[in-house]
Amino acid sequence: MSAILECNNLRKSFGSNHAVSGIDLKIERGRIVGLLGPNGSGKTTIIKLANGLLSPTEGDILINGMKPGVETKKIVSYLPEKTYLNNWMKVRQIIAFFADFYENFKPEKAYDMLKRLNIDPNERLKNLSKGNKEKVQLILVMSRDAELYLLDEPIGGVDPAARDYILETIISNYSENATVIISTHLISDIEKVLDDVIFIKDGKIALTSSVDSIRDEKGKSVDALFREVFKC
Amino acid sequence: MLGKLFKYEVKATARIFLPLYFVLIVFAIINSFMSFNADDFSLPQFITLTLYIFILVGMFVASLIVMIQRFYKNLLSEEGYLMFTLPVKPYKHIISKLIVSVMWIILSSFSAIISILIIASREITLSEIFSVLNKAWNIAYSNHGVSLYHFVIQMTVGLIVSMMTGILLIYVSISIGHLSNNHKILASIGAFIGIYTVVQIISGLIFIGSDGHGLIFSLAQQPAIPFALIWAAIGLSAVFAAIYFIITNTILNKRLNLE
Repeated sequence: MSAILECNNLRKSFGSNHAVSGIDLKIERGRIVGLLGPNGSGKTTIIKLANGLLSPTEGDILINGMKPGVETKKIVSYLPEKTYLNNWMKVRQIIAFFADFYENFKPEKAYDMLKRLNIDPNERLKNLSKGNKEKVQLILVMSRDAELYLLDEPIGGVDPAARDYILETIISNYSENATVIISTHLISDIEKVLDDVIFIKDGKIALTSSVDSIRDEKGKSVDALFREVFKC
Repeated sequence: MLGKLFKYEVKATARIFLPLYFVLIVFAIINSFMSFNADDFSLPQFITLTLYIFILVGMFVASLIVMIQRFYKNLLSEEGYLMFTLPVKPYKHIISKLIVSVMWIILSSFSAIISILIIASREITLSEIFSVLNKAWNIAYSNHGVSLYHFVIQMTVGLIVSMMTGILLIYVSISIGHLSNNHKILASIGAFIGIYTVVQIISGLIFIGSDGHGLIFSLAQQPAIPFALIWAAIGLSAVFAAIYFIITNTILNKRLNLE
């Protein structure tokens, strides 16, 4: 079986700005991976490349051995850092929309999570607060039985209490063979759920390691190591 | 998947058009109760008629705005993050939006005609209107014979093709504008004007020719209805439509650059 995500000399430039400059990477199944780096380091660009929202300038990115396309979109569940919810649907309708387009979407799971977070399924999306919109998006994304979850800043906009619930939702909602990639700069909050970390700096990989080996060999927390590597 | 996209596109737009049609018909009915006597044109009459005309014009302006907004907002702004991560080939987004736009323009035209018939029904009955139309058809038929059918088919095909060409011109302009990093709207308008100008020049060269001996000269000489000439014009329009479609699809596939 091929790796769930693989990058070979992946490059992406916007004019003279090199957002991703030569990344080689292999991510296996069944891992929770933190894609960590400061703002503007290229995390979002990598995730957008994996979703086919951008095309590589050079090199390639493969999902389950395939270039991003219809087949990879079926198995990737993506949470962008933007709110993409339109303003005319109700929560219930966007759930029906997901169920219509994604075979692996489980509506009952979504309703269950909505209930726990006290979000009314009959509410219009435009009337939701920003935090609730983000929660609805996360619920939609985590209610899919996907093979790869790409979560771009999933906890950036919500309060710390909801953060815990969201992290718990993430780790309790993916199957053993699925991989979750979480991009963030709020490391201390998510450190406890990660298996592996990838540090991204100026569009390049600064370090890849398992969290255990950082703790055991270096005797540091990921947060402390991050502060050291990215010291301004 | 095209069927599902189509379904959601209709849902997203019907909530704008159906109320508009409803209001248009209501105002047509109100107007039909007012007499059209030029000598005593009262203020309420003036107001209801003016409102009706505003709604009628507004309906077509809305068709244009919704067409632009659905393409730009749903595909190329934040909502694009959702639409382009659906397991659907990008060209299906273009086709579903194109067909739904054509559908609303046709339905808007029908509701305009119905509303006019309602207003006219005060002075003239439906059967009278149809008998006049029937007479006109018979006269035209006795002059042109079977070729009249050919003409009607040609006009219908021509209208639909030119509608699609117009819509795809807007799509391709927005897509080209989207390639600009900072001035997307300005670049879209620039692309529209640029393409429009080039197309006018090319069409002019083909039909009139630089020496005045283009297609019109050779095709428009003999019969009463210049079928070959009109088909050539429709064909050229279809070629432009295909080019716009291919460029739009290439941009959405390869050069997507969501903010």
